[in-house]
Amino acid sequence: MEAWVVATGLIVLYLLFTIVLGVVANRRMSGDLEDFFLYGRKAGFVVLYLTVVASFHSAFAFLGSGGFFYTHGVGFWAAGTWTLLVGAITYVIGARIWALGKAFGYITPADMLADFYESEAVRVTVAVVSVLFTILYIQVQAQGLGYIINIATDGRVSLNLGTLILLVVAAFYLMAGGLRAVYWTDVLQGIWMYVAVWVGAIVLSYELFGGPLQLWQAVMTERPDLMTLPGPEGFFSPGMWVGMSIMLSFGIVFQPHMLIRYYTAVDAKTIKLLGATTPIYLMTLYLPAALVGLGGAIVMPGLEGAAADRIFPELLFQYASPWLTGAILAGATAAAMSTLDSILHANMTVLTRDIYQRYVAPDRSQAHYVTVGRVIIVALLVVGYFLTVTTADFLVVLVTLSGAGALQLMPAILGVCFPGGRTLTRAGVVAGIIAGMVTLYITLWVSPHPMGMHGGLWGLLVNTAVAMNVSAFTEAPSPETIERVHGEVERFVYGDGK
Amino acid sequence: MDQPKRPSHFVPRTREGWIATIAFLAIFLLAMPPVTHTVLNRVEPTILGLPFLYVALLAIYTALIGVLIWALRKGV
Repeated sequence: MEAWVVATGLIVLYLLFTIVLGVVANRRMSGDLEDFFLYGRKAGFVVLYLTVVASFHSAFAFLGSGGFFYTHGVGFWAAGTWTLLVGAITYVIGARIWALGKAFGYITPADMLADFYESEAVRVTVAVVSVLFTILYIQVQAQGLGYIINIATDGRVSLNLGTLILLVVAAFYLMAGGLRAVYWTDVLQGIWMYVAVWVGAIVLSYELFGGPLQLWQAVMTERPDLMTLPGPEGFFSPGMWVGMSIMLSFGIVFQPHMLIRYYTAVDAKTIKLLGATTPIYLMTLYLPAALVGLGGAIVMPGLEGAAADRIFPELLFQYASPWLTGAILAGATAAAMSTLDSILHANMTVLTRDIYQRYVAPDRSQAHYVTVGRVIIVALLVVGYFLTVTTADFLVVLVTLSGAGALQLMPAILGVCFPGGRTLTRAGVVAGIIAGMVTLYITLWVSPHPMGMHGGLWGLLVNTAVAMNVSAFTEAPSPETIERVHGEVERFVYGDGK
Repeated sequence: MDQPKRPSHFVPRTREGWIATIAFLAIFLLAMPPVTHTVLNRVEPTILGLPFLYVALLAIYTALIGVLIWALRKGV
């Protein structure tokens, strides 16, 4: 049987299974908002762990990371720094966000920030930033899915059609079962993608080099330029190393699909255990990615730009059995879909809760908002597809761009979660975010990465300086609100911590 | 305007909190420039047949996971 038939068949089977999970999740829904948006705030450790890691690792981990090792060498092992930071951020900040969400019934990140800063301007600003930049992330995943289907079918299904099919499937199970469907499919996807990338890399390294150690020896001998920093093209300069470490940790954790996950944990112990252990999965997924990218640079040299992102599937098609190739490409599909569905869900939640429920139709039934959420998913699908077919770019560039936007929420979030010192004000927060956005425009487009430092970090520095200075002479949140919110954080961290 | 005074959460208040914070930051700095681009930036000596930079960073990352798990066990 030809490889493309097996690969396509396995992906179709996988997609059918996710649809079935969506239907089953639909039958378990209670119909209230928290159930549809937040899994009823009762996600246990295993489900939450797999949904967080599956949402964090995406098409980028499967395709972009191999491409990055291929092009820039061992410098991409910097990835370990941002996966470790994700764990630490979850442990320290995620636990506080969970506690506040539980105490005050927050559903979206903007709920928390608008409540503390007592400002609808903060709510709208945060909602807009959240949606604007994570739509880019939809594009990343959709592009990755298009690549995978296009490769799996040996070009028989076009990139655009592949993207559309997988977007529709993800939207279907999300509309059917809400966050429960997302979490259930993420469990499957999280396991499948991890096993797939490890098995694929190990098999390829034995097939092509006689084993992983021999692969490393070959790279050290034939491509020593890939073995040191800053890499053959000088990409991993110190500034870029630091910038990517911050951007791909804080910048991803502060995206709404990750923040909303913190609200859904069943208890504080779960979220802290999550923080301490997620780096194990996240970091070790890049070990096989190094084998794929570096080995690919030896056996299949000459791929450039977006073509380098295809190194893993290209190697599989040439050197692995059809069944293994099919199973691994289905794993790659899982990697992209698990992030895509999470972002679709988060954007739907933000638009429904922060915009529609707040400003368009405040006093409708919970069932009404669930229906509106489903309509918004369709709209997001159309926008995501449109962006995907009209823009093509290198995956990692898009990921860091979306991370740079979400990073601008950092001063505001720290202001809520870390009592002590002078509190930021609503004017300070809004002015800081706007200044950060303007700086992003300059440091990402007009004059990219000044002085070798990532534009997102420049945005964060300007944002923080403006937020602190404006806050120094504008009205702070009321003492009652500060006491209520910071008092809750104090009780959680230094009280009983339950 | 006057704001309610509360001890800062940016500074640890317990011995275990201090240990976890300092250990994480100190080890994390080993995985950051300039250490990565100078001291660690070499292939030789290889360790178990793998390049030095790769193994050194793996050891640092593993140590950081160890700090997080230690903090969890100590209830930090």
